[in-house]
Amino acid sequence: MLDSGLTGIIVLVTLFFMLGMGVHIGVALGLCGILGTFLAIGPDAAWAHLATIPFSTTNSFTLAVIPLFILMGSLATQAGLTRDLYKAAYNWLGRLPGGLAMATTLASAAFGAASGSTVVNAAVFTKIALPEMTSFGYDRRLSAGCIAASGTLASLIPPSIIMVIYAILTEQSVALLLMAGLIPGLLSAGMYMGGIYTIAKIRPDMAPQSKFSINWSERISSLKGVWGIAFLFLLVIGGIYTGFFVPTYAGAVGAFGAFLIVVAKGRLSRKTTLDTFKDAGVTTSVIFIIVIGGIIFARYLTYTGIIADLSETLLSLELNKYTYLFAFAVIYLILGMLIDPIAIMVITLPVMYPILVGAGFDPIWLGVIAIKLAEISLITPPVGLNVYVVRSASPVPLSLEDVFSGVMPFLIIDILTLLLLIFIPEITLTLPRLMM
Amino acid sequence: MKQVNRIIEPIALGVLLIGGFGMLASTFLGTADVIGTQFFGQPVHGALELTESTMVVIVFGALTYAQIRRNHIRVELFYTRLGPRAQGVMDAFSDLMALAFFGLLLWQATFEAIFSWTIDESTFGLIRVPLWPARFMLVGGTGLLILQLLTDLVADILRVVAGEEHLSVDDIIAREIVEAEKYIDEKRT
Repeated sequence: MLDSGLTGIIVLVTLFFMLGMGVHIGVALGLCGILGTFLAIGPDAAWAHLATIPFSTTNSFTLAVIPLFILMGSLATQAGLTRDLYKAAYNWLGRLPGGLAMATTLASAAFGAASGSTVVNAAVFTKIALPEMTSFGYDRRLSAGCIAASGTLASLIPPSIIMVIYAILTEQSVALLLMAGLIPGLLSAGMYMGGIYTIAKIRPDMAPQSKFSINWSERISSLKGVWGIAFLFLLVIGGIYTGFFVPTYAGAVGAFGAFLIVVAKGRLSRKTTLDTFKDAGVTTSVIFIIVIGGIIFARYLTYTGIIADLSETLLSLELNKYTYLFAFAVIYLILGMLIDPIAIMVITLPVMYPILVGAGFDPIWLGVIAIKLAEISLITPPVGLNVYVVRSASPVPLSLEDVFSGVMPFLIIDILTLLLLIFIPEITLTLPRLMM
Repeated sequence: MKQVNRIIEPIALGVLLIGGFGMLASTFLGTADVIGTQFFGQPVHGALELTESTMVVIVFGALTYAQIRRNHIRVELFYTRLGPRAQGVMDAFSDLMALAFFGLLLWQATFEAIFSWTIDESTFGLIRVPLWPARFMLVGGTGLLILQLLTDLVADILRVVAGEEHLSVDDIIAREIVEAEKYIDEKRT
């Protein structure tokens, strides 16, 4: 058997080489985990991990919440809820300064409550809201930045898939974490809307106030299209909050409800249903291979004692706990330029989580901070994923520089929100505490 | 090669759809279980266990179809900046690594599945749901993926040898835009 320090170096070098060569992240993590266990402990342990982890990870009731949430989101999109949401938000906010951009944020946040996927959110709203804002004379940088940033709201507002993955990786309660994201998600949306309002007040030329008038009956009637999603959200979140059902069944009930809405709206067709299944199946499979690889890798790190040694060494420095958090944030933002948020969590959490919890941070609160950081990394130059999505999906000509400069104010707002979340933990922890 | 793909793709889609319908079934069963438990004091026995088994079918059933669409997450930092030959080398390397990982997994999972079948492994609870079908599903899904990876490997190696233009960066971006648009249009209709 090799010394665990030497094995650690071999494994790390191999891992970075594989990732650089473009190997699928789940495969790279899984292979390196097996390699490390093989070298440091022996073949029996390595094969045992390979024999048990893939089955036990997938044959899991808790993790079944992921495909069910994905299915719920796909069905909600299929039911055309995005357009209805945007129309309602537009009717209510359209006349305020920056109203169209605020409507985009609000609708995106509401849709996030059903989709749980930031990329889908950004792509869908680029198609719907960007042409609208452009035709009303909005500055295209502001419009694009608003859409890219608002797309990230989906990962905090429950039901969030990435939140479930954090819960699984850290063995925390899925229900508590989902609820913990609610207020920070709403706060993020509110901060964006405040920011847009301020920009529109200072620079009216960037967001011309629309002259059209909407009467109250039109406003009320536009709500007809959104009762479905509102009901679905209240059902899922209310059910989890009151403990009426566990998160997996919340996913089942939510997907069932979304299915009923699709049927009620007469939008059920064989082709779209087939696509919904393809979509949900492929997304689930891709996520789970990352999680399986990540768990095999984490098992290697834990069994060889590398994590215990590392966290003991780092904690023995007795630094201020915010120094550890700051280091975590920097690593996150750097990795966020290269890989997607789920993969970042799978790679970093096995090492960072014990250190940060050891330094005295609350595990539930840490989940919200980690996800907020992941959101920020999605819009941080030079490689924010959502920025690319908005540019690619844009029906009007748009350069990457446009989107990045448009995203800047939102990035600043996000950092403010992050600081609020860090220094006032009650924002995050009040709801989960009420549940306990 | 094309003929092999023509056989694999419909099978992959078929397995994925089995998982899809399983997912829909879990949705109905889960809802029924909640209503039954909360309002009638009568849970649906086996709903939880079937949901678990369905998960295996979804994940390992959709694996090959995901590979066909090459919908796998990877670090693209260098990839998009390289020429076609170098990209071919990277693709072939990725295929090889995936073959190694899933090959080892298949080897171990086969033993587990056979063992599970011999001892008639099943869940505890009022209704004993056998576990070996899900285990064999894992084996089958992984096996199909390995076939697909082999054909991908051959195609990628041929590309490296021939040095043929695969897809330039612009092609990739253009393709992504087309796909994103198609995706959104489909969602909209």
